[in-house]
Amino acid sequence: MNASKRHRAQRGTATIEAILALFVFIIVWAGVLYMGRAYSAKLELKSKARACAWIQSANSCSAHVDCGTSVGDGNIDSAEGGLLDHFAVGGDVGDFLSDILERQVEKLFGERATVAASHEFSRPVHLGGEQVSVSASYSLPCNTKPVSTDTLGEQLLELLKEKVF
Amino acid sequence: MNRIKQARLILVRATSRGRRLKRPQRSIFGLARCERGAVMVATIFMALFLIAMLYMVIGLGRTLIMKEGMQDAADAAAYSSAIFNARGMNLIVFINLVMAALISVLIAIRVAQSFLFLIAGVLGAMAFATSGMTAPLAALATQQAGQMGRAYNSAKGVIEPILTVLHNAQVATSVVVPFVSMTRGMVEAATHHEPAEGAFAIPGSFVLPVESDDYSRLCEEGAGFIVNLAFMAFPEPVQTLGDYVGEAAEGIANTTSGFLCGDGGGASPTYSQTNQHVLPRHPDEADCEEEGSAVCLEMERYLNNAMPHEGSGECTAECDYSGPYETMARRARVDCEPRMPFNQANFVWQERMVDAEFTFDGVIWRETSRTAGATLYKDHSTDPPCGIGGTVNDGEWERDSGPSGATEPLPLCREDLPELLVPGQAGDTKHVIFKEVVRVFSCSVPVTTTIELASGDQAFGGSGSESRSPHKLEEDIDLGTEPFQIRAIAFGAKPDPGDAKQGVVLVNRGEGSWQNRWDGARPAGDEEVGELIELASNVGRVAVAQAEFYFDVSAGEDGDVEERDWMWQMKWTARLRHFHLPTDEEKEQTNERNQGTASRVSQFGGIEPGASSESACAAAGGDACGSAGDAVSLLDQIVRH
Repeated sequence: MNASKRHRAQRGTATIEAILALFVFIIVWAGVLYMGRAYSAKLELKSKARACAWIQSANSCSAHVDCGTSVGDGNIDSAEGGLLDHFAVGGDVGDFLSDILERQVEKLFGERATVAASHEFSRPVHLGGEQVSVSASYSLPCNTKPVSTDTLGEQLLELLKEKVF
Repeated sequence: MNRIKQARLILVRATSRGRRLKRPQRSIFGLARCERGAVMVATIFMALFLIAMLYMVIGLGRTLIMKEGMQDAADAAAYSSAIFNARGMNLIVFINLVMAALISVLIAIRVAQSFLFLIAGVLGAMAFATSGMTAPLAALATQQAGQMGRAYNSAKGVIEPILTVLHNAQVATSVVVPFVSMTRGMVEAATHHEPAEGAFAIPGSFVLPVESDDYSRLCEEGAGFIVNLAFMAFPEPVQTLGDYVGEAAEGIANTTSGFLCGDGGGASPTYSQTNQHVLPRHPDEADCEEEGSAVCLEMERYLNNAMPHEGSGECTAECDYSGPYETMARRARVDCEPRMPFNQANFVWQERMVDAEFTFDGVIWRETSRTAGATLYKDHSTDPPCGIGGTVNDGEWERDSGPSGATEPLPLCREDLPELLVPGQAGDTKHVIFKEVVRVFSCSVPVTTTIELASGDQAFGGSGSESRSPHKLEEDIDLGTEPFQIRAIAFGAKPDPGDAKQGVVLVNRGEGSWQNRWDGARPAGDEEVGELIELASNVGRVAVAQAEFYFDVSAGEDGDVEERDWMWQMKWTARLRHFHLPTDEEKEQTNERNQGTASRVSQFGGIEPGASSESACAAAGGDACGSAGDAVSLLDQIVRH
């Protein structure tokens, strides 16, 4: 085969290689975009979860505090168990005192806000196309809640009604 | 074909030129002039540099993310520690309120007793106007008041030790909470905030800024508490009235705390024990110190002979006027006479029925003859023999038993005889049968003995009423100052750029030969890492933050709260602050304050505020106090300068 024929036979090779390389680049590019998007979503969720946890904590973990709808399924977990779980005094008086102590001490030391946020989005079609979930969480101890003397008195009165009457 | 020939010709010329270039006499100048491959060399270096830059950007990115995480950890550590301190303050407030609730029991009893005395006084005064009709009620009120007094003493005996325990719990809280909050900050950062491995949360003060308040303040709050509780059952408008009544009650209670709340007035912690003492006492009783001694034996004999017969109440031995029977009976007349606070009880007396003849002398009915019945020995648990509730309804108590030569003493009292109130004609006579009390032998009165639990300097948590007092915020201390500040230093592992490390090293090596630069790119220890990445790493592995606890003056529905009430409302809370270091003036104030509170800390075996890091480490029982002490000193200098 002479040179002319060889030259003619190699025509279009670069084009085919370019097309193949382009596909590879597109897949790599889409992967980079997808990873970037997922990482960006995670950072955003983390940021929002953090902001929400700080709001919840600053508001003494009150249930009515609204962190906004974009946080996902944020929720608050109170502390599991209590400091006085193993503190038990027998008898009616003991139970009564334990109730008073537990209620107050739990409020003083026990609660914690844990905000979990998640977000779902689709993976690019040429990478599988299924739904992917990204989540982030942030946890802080609850700030103290102001309690007025009247509220304490009312609680005591309720407790007396419940236990005595 | 011509093109092929030309190409061969060029190749041959190039080859021959190349051979010529290899000649030694032309190589140096030719090499200096030759530009072939120069771009290639620059491209290779540029490519390496760009790759290294890419690695560096990735590494710095990871460092920045870690730095953000570290800042989160420092914020959370300082904040959680401040929250714990705020909770400690609220716990002290809560204990204050519990103490007030306890003391309100004493106040309630005292107020009830006062009302009964008041009623007794009013009814007693009305007795003259109502011909004695209100006298029984007055006596009943007096009796109930006496019982209230006994109830007060009993309640006080229980409540005072509890108050002491609660006071000590407050002192313990003020000392323990700052130390626990340091641990809290460490745990918060380590368990909830990666990539931090922990944090030092260093409080501005090693004790909470509280001190003992006056005992009268507790009484004041107790009075307010009970009034508010009483008015809480009523609808809203009445509750508002209760606020005013509560304020008035607080003011009264503050000035009368000694009466209402049993203010110890500086005595050491005591326990009051109330016993019934029998009256009359033998005059030599004080001299009878040792059982079986001559004085005690003689006293015992004397008292035995003074004992009346249990059936008739008559004398059994040595029955003359100066004998023990009559002598003790005369003393009993004086000692057992009912008087304020009417707390005599367990009366023992002798009574009899009398059939007497009375003759009207123109003015009054006079007893002219009598036939006395058999005497009877009587006792009663509470009521006196004479007066309302007693055997004889006449409350007049004859203290004088008559002259020494008389065959028997004058009666102590006798029944009222209404028939003798009606006047008759001079010389008229009447036969009346009535009861009279001949003698009273004994009674008992409650005597409260105060037992000191410990001397003043041995007493835990202070002495006297101070050991039962509530706590207040320290004097001359402002919110936002050093004792309320918490500074946290979070630390974590050195940020590792991972695979990008080699590239970062390659770029950032600023000195040494090319060979050394290349060596630096090989896997090597931390000592070979460049200065820039070293600095970046160290900056990234440490973060500082500051938080404070404070009283939220405007929190709740009560409006602004006065400073004196800050330890009576659970509104202590926490917040983050911009990081700043204490000024010289603040440091000086902190040192002065620490000296004042050192004794409180040392009571609990804690680290004294003025102590060095080494002594603090040694107090904690550490074996490796050298390096740990140095580390703590360094952190101390970082935070406190």
